[in-house]
Amino acid sequence: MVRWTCIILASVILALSAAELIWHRTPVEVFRGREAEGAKGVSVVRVGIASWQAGEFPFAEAVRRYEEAQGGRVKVLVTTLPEDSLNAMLLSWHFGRTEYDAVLAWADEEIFPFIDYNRNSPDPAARSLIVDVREYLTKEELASFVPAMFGGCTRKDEATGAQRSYEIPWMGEVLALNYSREFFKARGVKGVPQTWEEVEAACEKLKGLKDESGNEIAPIALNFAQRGFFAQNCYVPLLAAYKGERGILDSKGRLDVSSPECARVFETLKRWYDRGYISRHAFVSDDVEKDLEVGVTAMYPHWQSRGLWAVAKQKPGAVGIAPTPGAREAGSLVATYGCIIPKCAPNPKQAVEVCYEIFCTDKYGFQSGVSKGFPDPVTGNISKGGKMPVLRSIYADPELPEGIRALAPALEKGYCAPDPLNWAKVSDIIVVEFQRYLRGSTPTAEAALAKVHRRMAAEVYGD
Amino acid sequence: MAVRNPISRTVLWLSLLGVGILSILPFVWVIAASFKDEKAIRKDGVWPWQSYQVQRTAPSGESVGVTEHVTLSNYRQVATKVTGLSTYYVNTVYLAVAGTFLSLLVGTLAAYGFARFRFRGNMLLYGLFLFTIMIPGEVTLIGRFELMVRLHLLDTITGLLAAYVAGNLLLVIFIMRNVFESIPQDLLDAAMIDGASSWQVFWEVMIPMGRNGLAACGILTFLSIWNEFFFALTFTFRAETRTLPVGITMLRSQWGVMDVGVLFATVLLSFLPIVIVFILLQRYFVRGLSAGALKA
Repeated sequence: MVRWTCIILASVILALSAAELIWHRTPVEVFRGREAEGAKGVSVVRVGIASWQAGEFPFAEAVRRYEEAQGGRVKVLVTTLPEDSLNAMLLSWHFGRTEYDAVLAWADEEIFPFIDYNRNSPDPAARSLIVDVREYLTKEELASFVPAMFGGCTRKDEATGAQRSYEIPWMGEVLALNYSREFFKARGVKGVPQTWEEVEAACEKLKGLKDESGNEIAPIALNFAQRGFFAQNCYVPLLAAYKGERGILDSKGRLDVSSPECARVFETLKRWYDRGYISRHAFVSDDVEKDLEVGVTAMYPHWQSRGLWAVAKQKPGAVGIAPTPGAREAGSLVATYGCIIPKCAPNPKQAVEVCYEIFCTDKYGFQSGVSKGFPDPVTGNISKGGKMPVLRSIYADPELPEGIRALAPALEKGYCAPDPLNWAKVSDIIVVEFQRYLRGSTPTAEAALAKVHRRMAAEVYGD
Repeated sequence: MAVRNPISRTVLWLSLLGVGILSILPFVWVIAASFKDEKAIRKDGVWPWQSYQVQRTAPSGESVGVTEHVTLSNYRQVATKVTGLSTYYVNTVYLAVAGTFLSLLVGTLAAYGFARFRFRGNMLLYGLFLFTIMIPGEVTLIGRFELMVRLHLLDTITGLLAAYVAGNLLLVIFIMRNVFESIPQDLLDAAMIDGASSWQVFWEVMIPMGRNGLAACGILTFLSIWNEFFFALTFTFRAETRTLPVGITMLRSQWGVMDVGVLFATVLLSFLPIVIVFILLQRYFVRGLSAGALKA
């Protein structure tokens, strides 16, 4: 009995595997695509999007409108990808195999392993796994973008000196001071702080504030737990403001960790922490990210999207968004998200065209969804949005959220995180050494930053 | 050993109760939190007796504040947010069942060979098998990936199944060889005298006698395949071939921030089958592990 059950089960598994392999070698999309290309002139473009973006942006609707507008000549197949599929993608593209003609929603630093692939090869064509999109976008299309949006994905070709850009930006983020008008009003904080000293003064006024349920309101929420958020939302904006027009880089073009202003940043953050200004969630990344949304903090320097999401969750007019202190002089940190096109894609030109048309322009409502939000497919309520559009022309839209319009000028002086490839490592070192300083294991800010400097030289740059 | 002193017994019971509560509390917490709004969870109000305020849309379209204690909205959202949940479930169940079955089938046959047949290089081959247990799967990832590409098994359930069977085979061989070696030779001799072939001895004597070991291997293999994430993430690209652990990570928003209520509801749905399998087979599991350990 057991024997026969085993034989039957094994046969069923073998049969299913055989059926799957036959099916996989002749997938229905390929049949559909081949038949369509041959008979009706329809081509298929396969687009991969990160899973976290699937519910945040109106992909389905924009693609549907695009396909309709193309009169059925182009079919766009959208697949959601787990956020951690980066390495699998690298391996797959290394073997010249891709399930996607374009992949969206990749942060700047994440695309650099693709750009740097085979970088020492004498054959320029063998360098990088993704295409230089400047070769496929027209001059007019290139000129239509806000220039800062290309900052994170552009590299100088060492052989030719030409600037190469490896992604088509479709969404941006700008650092902002997100704040609660309600809590400001409750404690008589007038106007938006224009300097970090004014932020500190506001914190002092806001200290001890409680909501109607008796929950304590933190004057300011800062993320001391997540390396990227610490570096970009705490360290960089303060450093930029303190250094002014000198910028956040050192003489080697790396993030500055040795000037006196750097020590001032560490000291300021520690002082705020010691005085109890900072949210108790500072060491729990997930929680601090929600502080402004759930109304337990008065200020949250972060991307403008966090402020705009809080706007949607709070009473009308309760949350305001302004440039970070010093941004008018020093500019604002910008992050972009773009489409990357693998070199092994069968038709990169078409993939670039489709990505630009659907995801960069507002012809199919995608950029409106990016900035203003879009109807939730379940509830019908307008949700998400809050991101910066990538094309200059879209900023003329008077219906853009107030926060986005307020931050548009900050884009003109926008700058990206330096050295994106090493940004994660550098951020990691900075946050760890800051925490040691905060807890007293390193006595002074100067000593902490000296350690950061040494570790960066040894662990990141191999000086 | 019976504890007769009432004070010692009370202390022992209290200690065991404490350990029991500590073990079960995270699960109870996840279950309770899965019935709460995210805002309530983040404000540490996960228990059913704690109320919270949420904004709901009234039939008139007006947004009104409502007091709630529990909600099923997380489960409703699972159905809408985790698109393809049923596919992930089917794939995971199939991989776990088929992978466990194939690992046990092939592994017990190999273990039988190692335990009962004396051939040249027996120990060397077994030693080589054991040696490969010591190499973490992640180290061989790129090699495996290339193999998958060359065999056209990438992005297929069959490819993933092959990887899981290969990965779990060694554990089965290791445990079952010890289990088979612990079966008295006299039983096998008696079966042989009665005219049974080696094949019949395997099915009629070894398998029934080694069922505790098989159950233990089965549970371990099933658990490892059910929870496996790394290979599933690396070897599959399409939604049709994804598994539940990969599907759950897709609930993560950027930078790993999650809607924790929805996450807990999904986690609960994902670990329920495992808990049921474990409860059903726990008797064999404990016995099987000790049986395997005797001759190790």
